[in-house]
Amino acid sequence: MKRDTILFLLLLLPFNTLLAQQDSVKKIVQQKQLFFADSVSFASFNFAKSNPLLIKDLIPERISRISIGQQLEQGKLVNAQGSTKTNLTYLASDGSINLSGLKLYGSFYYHKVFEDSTRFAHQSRNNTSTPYYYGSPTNNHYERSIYNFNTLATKDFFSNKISAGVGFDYHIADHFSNNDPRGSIKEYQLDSKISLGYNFTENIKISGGLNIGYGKEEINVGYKNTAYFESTAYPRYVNYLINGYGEPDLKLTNRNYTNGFSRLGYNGTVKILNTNLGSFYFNINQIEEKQIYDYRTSSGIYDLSKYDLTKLNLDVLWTKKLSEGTIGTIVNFVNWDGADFNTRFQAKNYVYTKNEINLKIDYAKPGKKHLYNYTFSLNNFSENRLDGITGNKINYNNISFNGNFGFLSYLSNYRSIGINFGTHYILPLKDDFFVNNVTEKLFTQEVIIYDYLYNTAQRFGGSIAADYSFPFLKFTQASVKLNMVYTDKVSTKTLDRNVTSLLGNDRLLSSISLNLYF
Amino acid sequence: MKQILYFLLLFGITLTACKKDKSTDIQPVDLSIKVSYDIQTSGYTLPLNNVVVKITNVNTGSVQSTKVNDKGEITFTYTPAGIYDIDANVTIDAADYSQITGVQTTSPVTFNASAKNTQVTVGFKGSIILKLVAGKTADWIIKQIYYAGSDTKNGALYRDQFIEFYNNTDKVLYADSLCFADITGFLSNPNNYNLLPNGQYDWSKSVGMPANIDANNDYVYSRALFMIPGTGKQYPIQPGASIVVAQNAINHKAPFTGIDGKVVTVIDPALTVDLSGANFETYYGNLPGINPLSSDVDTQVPNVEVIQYFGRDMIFDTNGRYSFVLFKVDGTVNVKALPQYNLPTKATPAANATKTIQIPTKFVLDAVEIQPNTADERVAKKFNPSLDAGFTFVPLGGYKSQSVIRKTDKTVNGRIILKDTNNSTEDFDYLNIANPRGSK
Repeated sequence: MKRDTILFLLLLLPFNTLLAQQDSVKKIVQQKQLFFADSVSFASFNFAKSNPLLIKDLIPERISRISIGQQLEQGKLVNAQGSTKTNLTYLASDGSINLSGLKLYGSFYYHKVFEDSTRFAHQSRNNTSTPYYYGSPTNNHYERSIYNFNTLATKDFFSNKISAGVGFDYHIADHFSNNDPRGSIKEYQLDSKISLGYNFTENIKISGGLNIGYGKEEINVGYKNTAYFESTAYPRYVNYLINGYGEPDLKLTNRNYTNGFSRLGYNGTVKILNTNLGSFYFNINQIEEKQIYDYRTSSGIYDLSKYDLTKLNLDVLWTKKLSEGTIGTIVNFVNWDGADFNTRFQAKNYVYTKNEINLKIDYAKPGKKHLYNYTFSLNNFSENRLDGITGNKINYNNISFNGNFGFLSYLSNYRSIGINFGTHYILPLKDDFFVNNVTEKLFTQEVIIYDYLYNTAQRFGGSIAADYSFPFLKFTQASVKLNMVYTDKVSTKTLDRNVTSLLGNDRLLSSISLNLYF
Repeated sequence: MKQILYFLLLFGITLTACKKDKSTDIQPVDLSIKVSYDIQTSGYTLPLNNVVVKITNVNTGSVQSTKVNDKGEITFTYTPAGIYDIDANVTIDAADYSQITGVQTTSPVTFNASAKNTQVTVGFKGSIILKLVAGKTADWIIKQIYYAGSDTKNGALYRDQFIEFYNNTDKVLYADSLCFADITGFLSNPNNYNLLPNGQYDWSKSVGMPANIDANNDYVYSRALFMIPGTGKQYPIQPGASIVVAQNAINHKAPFTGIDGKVVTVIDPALTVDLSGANFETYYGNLPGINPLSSDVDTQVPNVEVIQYFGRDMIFDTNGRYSFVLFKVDGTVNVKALPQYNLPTKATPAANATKTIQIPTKFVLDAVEIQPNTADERVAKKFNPSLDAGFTFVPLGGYKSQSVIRKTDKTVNGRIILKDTNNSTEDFDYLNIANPRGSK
């Protein structure tokens, strides 16, 4: 009931806009579609939509869109616990509105995902750094139904000297495999953000606030064929408990647990607007997440594991209007530090670190007949996993280059056609690989070694996207988008170990969507 | 610009402040094991350099195996902390053994040692000491145990259970007065019992247990005990032949009429066994106070003598939490007069509390330790290495028609000699469908 109410309110938000736009001319509606076609405004929009104190600056007063799409991703060039074939159908909607000085942004999406060949991961896909989860060697066919609701609101007070903002992000999902072992993961997460800002001048603003959240995952693994779980006689169907980054334990009984999340952190924003150098937006978000894994029976609750994960996110957006276009640059730094508390050994066994530095430069050059978009990005990504019990230590550091060029041509009757070409290259920089061969068994071979080879592989690819836009139902602008991204393996490392699963050669993502803007 | 610089400075401070300890508290350990023979007073020295030590991680199933040095030492480096089964064994040729010890033997002698469910803790230091003991190899051995039963709906449940004994010699043996017992041990509720460090009952704490005996090492304790009848030479068993003792000596594949007059039919006969050819069966219908199962038909097959019993028939634990011994007492002991003791409860047992029969291990001909099929359901080991250094189980667990069966060691002149190293982990295999008098 609660979910339906939130869904109704979020859908109402874009439709308010829709009704208000009934008298608008087609040109105005087309401008809303073009807002998302402009790479700088689109990047700014995405930068803003997680921070209530940015929506006023970077999201237009009234803009809404609804998308329905289908995406197919397939190929064995994927990490060990990924799916070799993922079919996603989605419905997404977002929009903004200003109600007497109260700026609102709301979004909703529903994803229905069908995965083939998911191995060793009875997990949701949004907690992959965790040391504690179940997994099975067999290829599971997973279905996922994911709902996400996001609302941001901001309002200025005291002659616009004080800005206040709140945000809520509610995520609820149901994941299950429909073949043995039948994993079932039910989850919800609720995150909130409260920010209070002081505006020194019209162009210099600073704010700070709190991030608070909590959530829960309930995991259960069952079987239709009871013979599979009563023994280890069918090794493909055995359920394992992964607890760290080494060989897992057999987990044949009591195959369920609950993971409770709690999050607390801070956020801060500095805005320096309209200087000679352009506008700057600094953003910091820090969250300390605590995960407690427990087993619940009628006689009590038993702690199984604990995992603390600190997430730090620093972002800078710089936008500047140039003579012929607009440049937008985003610098982003991400740091995750995770460590568990292994209840069996009463000590820290697992350490996880992720560092990511992104630089993305967009240049959009609009014209009377065409809109040109140029994008270049660099991403440095490193990940480190330590497992104390086995002594396993795996680290890799990659850099990826992305370049995109796109143009959009305006056609008659408010129609337009756009095409975008892209290329990407992933280059491994350095790595450490120590995996205890004393303990080496299936998980080490099929996941740890395989993932090392995947993450240290050179990959190269290209993309092409096309977009045709046209007026639709008087007050909306529609666009049909096609997109294909292909990634090919260039080379992999040679490893003097028993490699039982070879990396796939390529991966192809294709998608089609219908989008309505109003 | 100044504000930008301040903010960048704040970013830097935040980054520095967030650096955490990125090492683990746990590291792999060097697991040292020292093996020696438990023969200090013998005056001779047996070689150690052929002793093989095997460590099995109970949770992950990882196995390492290697020989010790001539001092009986081995170190498994970079070993993950965890729970391990540690086994050591060596087989010495008959000629070598005879030469070294002066004890003439025609068969190789196997020594075993084990430390099951050993906790290798974080930061483990020191050595694990294993004492090799010669296993008892007897003329009579337990060949097959069908304790798991068959499917509860399509099979025969547990009414088709049986146990098989084998003459592993080249001479005729007589089964008369051969005894076998279902051996009990600790299962649950640790707060209620006096337990040893290995988790097994501390029988020395049983009410009335004499203080001058080694109650935990020189005896085992039964919950059911049976004896093959006979006058002494009434039941000769040829070399390489066996005897089957059935719960019910009937063909379970075919319909039969129970003692309640109802016809019992299995849905899938392939899941069960034909026990109409069993040598003996158990019959509870004539026991005082027992309401036997309807399947407990008293057939023409001779009955074993039921000395101790529980339940409504000879029902083995389908989960494999109990174990079995085959024994024969000498003329000085009356089986029916063996002492009985309560479980070693912390509270004083009630007057009508169940009692176990204390069986001296010196009379045990063969012992087979059974365990559940999954590591997390394991129970504390009941037998020390001199009885059975290992354990066995059916991999599919209860009600899946499987039996444990001793492996064939060799065939001499057409006679099968079964493997008997006193370590059922090594000596036993399993049959997917139990097969009386079958072989593997």
